Amino acid sequence: MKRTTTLTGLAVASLLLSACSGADGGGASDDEIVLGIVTDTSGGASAYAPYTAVGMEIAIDEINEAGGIDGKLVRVITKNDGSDTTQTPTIARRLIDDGAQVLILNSGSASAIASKVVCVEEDILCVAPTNLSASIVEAPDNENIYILGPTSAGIGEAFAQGMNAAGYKKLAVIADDVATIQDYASAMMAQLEEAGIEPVALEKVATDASDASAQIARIKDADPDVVLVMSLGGQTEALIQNGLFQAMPDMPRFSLASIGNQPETWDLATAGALEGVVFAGSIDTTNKRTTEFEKLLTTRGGNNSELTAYGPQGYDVIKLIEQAITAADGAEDREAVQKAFESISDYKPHYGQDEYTISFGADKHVGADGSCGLVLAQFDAQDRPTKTWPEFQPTC
Amino acid sequence: MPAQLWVSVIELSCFGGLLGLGYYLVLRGADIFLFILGGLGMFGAMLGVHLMTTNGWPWPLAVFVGVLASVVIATLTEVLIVRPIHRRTGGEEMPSILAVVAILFGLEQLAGTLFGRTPMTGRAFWDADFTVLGAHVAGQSILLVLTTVVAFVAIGWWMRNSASGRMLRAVGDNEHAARMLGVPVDRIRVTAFALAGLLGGVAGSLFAAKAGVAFTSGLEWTLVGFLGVIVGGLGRVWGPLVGALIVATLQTWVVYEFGHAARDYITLVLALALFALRPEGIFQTKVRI
Repeated sequence: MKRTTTLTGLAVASLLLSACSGADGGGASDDEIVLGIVTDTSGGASAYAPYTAVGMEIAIDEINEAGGIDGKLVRVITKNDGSDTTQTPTIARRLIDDGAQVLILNSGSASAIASKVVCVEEDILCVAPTNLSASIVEAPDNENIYILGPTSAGIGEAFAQGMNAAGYKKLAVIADDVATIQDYASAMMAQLEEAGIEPVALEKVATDASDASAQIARIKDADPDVVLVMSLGGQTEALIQNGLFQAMPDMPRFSLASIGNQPETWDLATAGALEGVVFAGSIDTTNKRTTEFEKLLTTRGGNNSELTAYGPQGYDVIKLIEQAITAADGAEDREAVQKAFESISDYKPHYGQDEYTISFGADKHVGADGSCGLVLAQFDAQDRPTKTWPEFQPTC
Repeated sequence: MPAQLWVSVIELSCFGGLLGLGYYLVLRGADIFLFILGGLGMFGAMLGVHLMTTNGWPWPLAVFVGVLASVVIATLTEVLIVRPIHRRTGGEEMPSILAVVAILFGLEQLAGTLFGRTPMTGRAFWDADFTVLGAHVAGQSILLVLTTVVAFVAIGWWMRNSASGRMLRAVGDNEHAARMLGVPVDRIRVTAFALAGLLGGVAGSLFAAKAGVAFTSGLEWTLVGFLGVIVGGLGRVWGPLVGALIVATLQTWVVYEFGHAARDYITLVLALALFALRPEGIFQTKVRI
């Protein structure tokens, strides 16, 4: 039919219209330090990137109010990649051209992976504060990039220990089909299977799917002891959790970090649908550094003042970079800044359990010293993540 | 399939059918695929939720304004974008299609800027839950079904029995001839776009309570309605609903039997089979001479 030609038009238009970005720029002057931030204000990571951004803003304001780093004020330039990995390298290069002396990757894990080659070619320190994928810091092109951690493999290990402690042996997994989550899935499943947890169902759901009933019915047919939901959170997570709650209300459920760190997502769930869900949190309210940060967030957080793991991670990445630049006597010598970053040891972050520390090294690009950056948390009857899971907690 | 999956099939069919009916009207009245239909549903639903949650508006008023916004955007799309391009290009289809697709992406970003990048949950207008043959049926799902039936019956009656409905078909069949016969072509085209906007807004507002809505929902929803009208064809007003039912049944059954990956394969097979055997869909238009 004549109109079938319009399919081609749709595809062409999609390609033509897929790029978008926002920016402010200008080169670095001698009396300032410029941090370049790749963020996501329009794609999949835009649900949580603002929480990290607030943590970074608070830290930068603190530094500048105290006179800067060695007398140089910190200036930030930000560009949006929309979690579109075809755009991320171009945007990273543009930030460097605009004077960025360190790159912070506040977008999806896939974006961080797409940036690796730019970090190496430009020999610039790159840090992805909130991303979990171990692939970010694996070869090739991993020489200049770092994550705070814990990684998805660390979460898998903690979940495996926790499931064993709770006596769960048969696991069903339902995951959304984005590259970032599929990367997590392979890393975590290896840990879980190694610990003797048998996967009895592995289901995928398309991002922005309108229905997941068929996948949930398959999981029910597989008769698991526990279900693990892997998603970037948001609408897809709520759709899956609502469906699981309706079909199997008594089934124990685990989820990744996203659900616990996205307050908007909690209200997408039907009343009581999240009760009992265990997730890989990083907030321990008995950690006094976390409560100190929470106070800062309350007064300075604006529209994103809810305490999630992203805020402290944004705050900590700036403090870590400040340490490195101070130790390197400035940000001009990129190699010196990276060496200084690799020398950071036993930094006490504002998330995780009280004894949790972060250290880096030439061969240690994941900051987490042990698994106690994780707190296995649990939702209450009001669909709020207020409890720690009593069955098991990771230790350092 | 378990009974619960049939509930999902019916919900998806009604949603896809309503959007498909919007496509049908604009195809019959203006001979163009209105690829912003999912975007209209998304924008109307997000505006309604935003007015309820941020501004504290009562839900009937908020939903009404959301749906009205969808109607206005659809109307402006015809008057300000499609019609000038249509005239300048002598009725060529592709330039108008590209412009409409551009509006879809623009709507998504505008909604993200105005209402936020985080997903929202739509309001259930009938907060009830029933159990039918062991399956949970939400009150909102029943409303979706009833709305779909009313919309299809009303549009079908209007197209068959009213002067403006018959004129819509005449314009779609041959715009030049209709204009020569004194049919108010511009008014008829605007009517088609406005009705499509109404259907998109209503569908989005009803469905957002089940699946939530985010600024990125526009493209996904656009494709749901598009598949319905492509499979169902334009020969009968019920075509898009039948098409949406077939697509939803196949996609749900295949995922249940073979897993998520098979969904794309069955969609491809369905599209290839249709293009090879019935390229104008199941219900084909009769050619008038």
